[in-house]
Amino acid sequence: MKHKDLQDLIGGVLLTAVGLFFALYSQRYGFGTSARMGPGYFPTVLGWVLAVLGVLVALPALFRKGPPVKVQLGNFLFVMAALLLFAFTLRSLGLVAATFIASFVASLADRDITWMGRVLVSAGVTTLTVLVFSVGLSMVLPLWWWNT
Amino acid sequence: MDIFANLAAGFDAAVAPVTLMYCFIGVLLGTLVGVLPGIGALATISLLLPITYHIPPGAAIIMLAGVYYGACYGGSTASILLNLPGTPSAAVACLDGYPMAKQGRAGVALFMTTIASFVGAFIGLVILALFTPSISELGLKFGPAEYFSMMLLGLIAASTLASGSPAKGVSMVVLGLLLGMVGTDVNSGVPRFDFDIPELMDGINLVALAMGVFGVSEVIASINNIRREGKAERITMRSMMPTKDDWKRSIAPMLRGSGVGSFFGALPGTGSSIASFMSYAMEKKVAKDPDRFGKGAIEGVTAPESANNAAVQTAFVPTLSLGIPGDAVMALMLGALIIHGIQPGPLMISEQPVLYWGLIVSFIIGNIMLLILNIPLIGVWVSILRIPYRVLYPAILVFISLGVYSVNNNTFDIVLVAIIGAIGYAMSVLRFEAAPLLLGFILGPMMEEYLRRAMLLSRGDPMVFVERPISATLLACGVGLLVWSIWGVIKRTARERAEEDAGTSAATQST
Repeated sequence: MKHKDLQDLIGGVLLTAVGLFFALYSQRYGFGTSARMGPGYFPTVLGWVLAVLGVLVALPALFRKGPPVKVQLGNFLFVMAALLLFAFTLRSLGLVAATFIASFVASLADRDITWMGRVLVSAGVTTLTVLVFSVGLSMVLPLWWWNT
Repeated sequence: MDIFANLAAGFDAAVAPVTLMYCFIGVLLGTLVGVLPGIGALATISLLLPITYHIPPGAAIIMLAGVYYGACYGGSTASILLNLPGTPSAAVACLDGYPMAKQGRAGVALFMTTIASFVGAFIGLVILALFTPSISELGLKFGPAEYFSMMLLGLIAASTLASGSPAKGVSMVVLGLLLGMVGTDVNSGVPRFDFDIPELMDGINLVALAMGVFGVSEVIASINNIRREGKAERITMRSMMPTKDDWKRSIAPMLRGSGVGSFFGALPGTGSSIASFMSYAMEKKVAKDPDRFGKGAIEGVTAPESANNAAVQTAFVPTLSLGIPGDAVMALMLGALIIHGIQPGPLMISEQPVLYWGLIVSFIIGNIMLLILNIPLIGVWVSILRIPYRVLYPAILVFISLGVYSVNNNTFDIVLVAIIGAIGYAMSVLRFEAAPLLLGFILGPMMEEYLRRAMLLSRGDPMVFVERPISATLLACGVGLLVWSIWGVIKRTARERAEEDAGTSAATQST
């Protein structure tokens, strides 16, 4: 219980950073006047507002205790990898292979499943996906890489 | 105009066998995609849009509308069973629906949401049919200043709903507004924050954002936490039956929710998401014991559910009468009408009375179909709960990806889902609410547009927002809400500090 309120402290600092980024990046767009607002007006104002709000979130957090920050890094990395692999293989390898790869990589995040279980889950998900999207909703997507 | 003669003409059009069939397909498909997290009405309607080129305009709109309000019935099912909203507007149903399921009351929650959906939809429909002229007149009185103030009020209400501090809620709204700025600026044609990525010129895909912050981050957080293989209890007809207390607690909230939903649905620019959040916030504020909320309060499920179904029905008011879409789905419906050569606007009801009234009668029929479909099928939806999460989550990820891909046929949007999912996960780790961000994102471009117009008309004088009575009232409500919630936080902190002090002094005394 010796922690500072890290959740709000980190969150506030990140918000301020994002706010400043938007406010400063908007400099390249015309600001205009309040009667004739340019494309930079609204984002600049909002960026500064966000930066101030971030300070308001972070400052009080310095003076109180809070729960520790828990990140499930393994889950996070495997899910991200599954999504990105799906995005990059969908067009080139076709729906069947892309779905199988993505499901398999996603299932790696689960620690209590056997390798055989992972293969079975991926095969099941692939069958279901083809049935729902290709057969059911007749989505136009190549199924195999030789159809691409 | 004789409303009954109109309804009779509409009835004739709506009960034609072909129309009935498209209505049934629409509501069945709608319930299905509503139940499945990761694929919602938006993606399904865009998937179906090319198909509707080949069927008559009336039937096409009836089918697409069926998907829309059918998804609204199904949306809360996944919220209750998996804590994963099937549709963005069903996110509120997670707050109390999921705790109810954990307490073994999933059957009751599902039964009551179906009833609440029907009540909300029916009241929304009555309002749609009876008050269309007066509501559109009210809408016509709105200038850009009123629109802006209305949206501001909606956003303040949504952010005070965040369970933590108002500062965190409001900052999420502002972040959402900023994300809404990405893409080509309508006024100047300047692409903003596109970082030279051509796919970002049209802005961030709404489906990608919703699925990233709600779907992906939830999957990451749930993988090694949800352990309930084979443990889910069998839902019997008896367990589905709500108690007398459930009914008593739900009737007034359902009616209030329908009212809130009808109101926000009818206003152009606000939609079912805002309606359900507003209704939840309202129930939390009027409740004698607000502490029950978030822990399985039945009115926290029924009120927003009535609200979003009512809103879905009245959302057609601005779309059909003024040609202003209330949300992204309505924008698609508008597109479908235009594809069929029908220009929605003030003249549509008088020029196409059969289409308009046929649509209304078909909504009544569709909602009765949904009531019949949903109550016997509750058992089928509950069986989803028995599938272990380890089997489900790879499928959810693939469905999310394909659902997002189908909107623009673009793999970049899947990458975008991953990026937004990472942001969403960071938000959930740091306890920031995702819902205000989504609302800010949807309203961002519209708010900017109305702000610009209002300031242009007033020649840069910001007093225009307080000089116009409707706008001033809306702003006063917003400020009131903000002050109320900040006051609530101050009181809570003071109480906690007092308890902490009492605790330390008690500890000192005992030693």
